[in-house]
Amino acid sequence: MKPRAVSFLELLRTSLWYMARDAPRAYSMLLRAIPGSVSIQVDQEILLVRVESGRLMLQSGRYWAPVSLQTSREAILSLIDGRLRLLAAVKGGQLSLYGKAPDLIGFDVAFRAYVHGAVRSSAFPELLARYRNTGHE
Amino acid sequence: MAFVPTSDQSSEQLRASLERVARYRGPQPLGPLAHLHKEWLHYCVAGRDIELLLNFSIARRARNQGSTNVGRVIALVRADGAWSGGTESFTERDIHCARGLSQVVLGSCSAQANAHGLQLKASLPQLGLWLELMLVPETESFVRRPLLRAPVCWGVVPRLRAWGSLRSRDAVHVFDGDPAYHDHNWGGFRWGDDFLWQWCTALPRLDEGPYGVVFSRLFDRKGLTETGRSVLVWRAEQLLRVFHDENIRFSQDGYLTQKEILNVPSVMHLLVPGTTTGVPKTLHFEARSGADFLQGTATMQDVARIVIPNETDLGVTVINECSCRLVVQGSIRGLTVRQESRAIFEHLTAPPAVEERP
Repeated sequence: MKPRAVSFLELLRTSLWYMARDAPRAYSMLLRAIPGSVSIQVDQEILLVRVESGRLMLQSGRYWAPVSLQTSREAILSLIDGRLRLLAAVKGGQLSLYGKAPDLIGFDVAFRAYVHGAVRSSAFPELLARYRNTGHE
Repeated sequence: MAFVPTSDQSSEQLRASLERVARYRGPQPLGPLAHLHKEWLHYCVAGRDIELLLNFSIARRARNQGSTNVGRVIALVRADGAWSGGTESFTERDIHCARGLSQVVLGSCSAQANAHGLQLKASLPQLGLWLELMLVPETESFVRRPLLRAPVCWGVVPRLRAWGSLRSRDAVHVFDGDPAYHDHNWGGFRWGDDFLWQWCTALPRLDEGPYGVVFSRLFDRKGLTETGRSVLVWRAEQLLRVFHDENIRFSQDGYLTQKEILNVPSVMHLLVPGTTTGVPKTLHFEARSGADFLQGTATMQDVARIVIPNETDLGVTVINECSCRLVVQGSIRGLTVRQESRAIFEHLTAPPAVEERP
């Protein structure tokens, strides 16, 4: 049976929950590095990630944030699968990032911390499979 | 040429020697490092137009209040100078192994020592890779515990011959007595602990010479202090000479760079971007003890990276797997040694962890 498809918001929210449990060091680094809040748009889905009471909170909708990121589901999966490099994604317009330099540097550290957490979380392969909606990774 | 099993006395001894390396060790019950136990079986095969690296690993990983086994098969294929491959993971229910037995099963992949040699099977549909191989030992094994000063025990069979076939995507490769290598490593440690290593094995065809050559070096995590060295030389079936530490000197020239580098797992390119590798372009050694000496030069061709998350920090350990040419020459026990062949060189690097970045 195919796993149920999940939105990006659901993927991010669930993965952060598991990350806090499975990779607390990465979660803590993410919390410390993220520049207050980040607006993320994946295709038509727009959400805000912000720090509140020592946790990362997510909410749907368009809000101002020091850093905003625009990309697509296809670009995210291509990056995960190694078909697309980060620099090529930026140069090719598949990923756009806006913000002041110090905030972008903070975002870069937060992004790496997220990837470190994801690869240390035993739940991530199944979550990713649900995001792909094509079966177990 | 089809694989024809033999049963002479020499072959019997070699298979018994292989068995000593092949059997699964597993964590020591109640041992202080049992929860950190890692064990892997590593195979290299050099076919006419292809090189294959296959790795079966089983590691203990903390989960909830206890720990569980996590299995992984990594397959790297080098054809026409380009690497492909990846990894598949297995949970406890798909892992079948027992201490003292020479069989490891990870899902639909298996490695088993039997009366003929080592039988390898792998069905990795997500990677588009299927293989069935029989590896027959040509040399006696060597087992050392621990490997240099790392907390890893190491058993090696430097020369085997491989029969069988591999299907990678739409291409089928047939192995017909081609050179192969096998080692088995086990121990209790964390990725990210204070060590790195370099290791190299020759993969000579029969017409390239009778020598098996393996060298290794161990470093601290920064790669600045070398803590151990060894060069092992086999001739035909026998271990001919072992050189150690102060009897070996290494030097290197340049660094290997490459336009595109395969990272395994693929997502790891996000943590190890760029195309600099830290791998020497050329590595030389000179081993000398008494009247025996051996000089070697490994010239790197290209590289693929296996990237492992550290257990000690938010960093990674990068295992660079390089295809190379290895030339050795010297004199050991009155024999003139000269051999040139393909080889595999492995070089570990430790990029700064996220916490260490400015």
